[in-house]
Amino acid sequence: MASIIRRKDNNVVTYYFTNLVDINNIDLESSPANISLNGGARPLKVADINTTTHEVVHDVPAIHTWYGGFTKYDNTDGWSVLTDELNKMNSLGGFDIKVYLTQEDYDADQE
Amino acid sequence: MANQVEKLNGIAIGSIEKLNGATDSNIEKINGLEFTGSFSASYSLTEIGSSTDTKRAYQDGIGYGSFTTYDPDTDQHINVYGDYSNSNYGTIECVIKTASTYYKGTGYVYRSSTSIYNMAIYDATKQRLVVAYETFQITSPHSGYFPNIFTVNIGAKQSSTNPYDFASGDFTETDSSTSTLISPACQITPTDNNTGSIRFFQSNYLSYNPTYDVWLLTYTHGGGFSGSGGQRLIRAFYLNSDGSLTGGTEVEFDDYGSKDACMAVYDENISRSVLMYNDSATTGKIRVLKHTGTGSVSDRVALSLDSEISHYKIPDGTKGQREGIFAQYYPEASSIFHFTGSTDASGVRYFKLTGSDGGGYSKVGNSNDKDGDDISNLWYYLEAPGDGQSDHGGASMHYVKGRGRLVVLYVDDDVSGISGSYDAQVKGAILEWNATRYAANGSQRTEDIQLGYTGQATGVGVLVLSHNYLPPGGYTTVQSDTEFFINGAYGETHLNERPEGLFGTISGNGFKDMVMLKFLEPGTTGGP
Repeated sequence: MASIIRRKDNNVVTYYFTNLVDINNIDLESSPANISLNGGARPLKVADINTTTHEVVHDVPAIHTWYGGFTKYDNTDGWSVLTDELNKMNSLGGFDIKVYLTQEDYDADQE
Repeated sequence: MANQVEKLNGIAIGSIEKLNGATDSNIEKINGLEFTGSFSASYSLTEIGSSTDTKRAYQDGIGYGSFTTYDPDTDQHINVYGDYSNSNYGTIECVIKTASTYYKGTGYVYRSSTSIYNMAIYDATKQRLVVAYETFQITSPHSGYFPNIFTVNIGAKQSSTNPYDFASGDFTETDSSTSTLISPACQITPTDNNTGSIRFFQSNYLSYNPTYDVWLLTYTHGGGFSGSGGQRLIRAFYLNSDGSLTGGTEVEFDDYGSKDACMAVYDENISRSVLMYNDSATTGKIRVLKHTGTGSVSDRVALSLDSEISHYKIPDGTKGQREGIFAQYYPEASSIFHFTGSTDASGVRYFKLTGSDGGGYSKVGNSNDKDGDDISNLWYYLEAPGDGQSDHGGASMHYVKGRGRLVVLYVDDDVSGISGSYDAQVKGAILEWNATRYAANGSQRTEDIQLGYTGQATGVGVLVLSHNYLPPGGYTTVQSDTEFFINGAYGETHLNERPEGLFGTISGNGFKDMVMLKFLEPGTTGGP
């Protein structure tokens, strides 16, 4: 399972974590928001997320490959990929960033 | 630049730390006499730690669009980048450089979306940092890359080995909680969901004009915005005392919609900023930018254009167009230096302007004489990959304030001496304007201007700006990389004088690390 920080207005996932120590490690109340991770990962101070615009959701299903800003997580419908936007960003920015929700999605793309 | 000032009010110059609050690096002349503080250095190329030191890997992820500036007030470098290890989110952190090592502050995410082509330039007069970046914004009904700009306060070091860590209040106006961010920084708006993006030109889109005390942002789009067809646009911003920015009305200076080559360079010789851009796939232009005046903020940011002047195409680039800084004003030459080439940088040309706002501006000479020419054979003697070669990894140039010299960097993605999978290197050379050659009415040739020139392309005069390092993950020998993104490399060096050496980063694409270039002190004397 994973924990996410998503936008309240459109469910776009801004941060995704699979290695949280506990919920106290995500603090959206402070300014800037503080995110502490285990496993030696460096902490994050984030200017543009707060409790007005974002919310933390725990115990969501983990996905195969994540990249910030191009997935949504809906409490009813679950995960979805913003494919059009991702393709647009890749083509314009010279990137080849992939997002896979499942191992099956990943395997299918390798064939 | 010489120091012609020995005493001030009877006090030895070495005993004065500040003059009217300004440090040495911010004072160029006193009563018309040139002043360089106590700085005096020969050329040197130094290691910080050893090449096997993992600390030379600056970050645990590529820094897309990285840029490094220097704050002489707090004696800290500031690095901005899109953090590969965090979805390329726009990130800023302070760095302390000492003679033996460097120390990083805590990273601060200023934009939680993919942010590439980040730039930061410190305003030493107003003691505030100006940051611009291009970010991918998903907005209804349109998504795409858009320009943004904000200012931020830089606090003092926590200690000599502990840099400043940013707080949220650094990003707001000093007398309120209002953010200084202008997003988007452009005024045109998308017309529909199929609209393209508004793009920056790599590490060249933000510049400072000291005559009018404004920051200039250049950007371009290929159509689909409120304005017909493609546009190249410029907008001026004034940095207010509370840290906020006042933007003027953006001005279109060309209708060529390609993202490449679109920048403004301040020309001290005419006290104006000069637009440099390609206006087709094969041709380039220059155009002097005029301001209404200095009587008010409105006048400072109100722009108009002088006539277009035919010039040379700026190379439009490979490697995902992640090259470096393409043009710099060289005060000793009273000229602007810039890269030439079709696809890749493969030469350096200089030109000089003259004129007035009322009478118009023009180039001095015929572009083939002492006031403007190609530096003949430079690329050959730099041993750099040529135009269109597959191993060309980009180039960058940096005039170094207080040193009177220009550093040229380039990336060779396939160095024969270390040929293999990981065989890329960043190399460079130091150029010094040859006033004797100019006085004799001669153009600047490589033998006149490249330090260390011997007449043979044997590597003499070419510096390997080593970035070999021991990557994390169990490696036992030092490594090169598969390729490098040069981005802003040493960042701005023409505005804020570094007390010791140039600091900057490049991004390796094999180990996915941002790597610190070997510290380079181009000095005022000596050669490689």
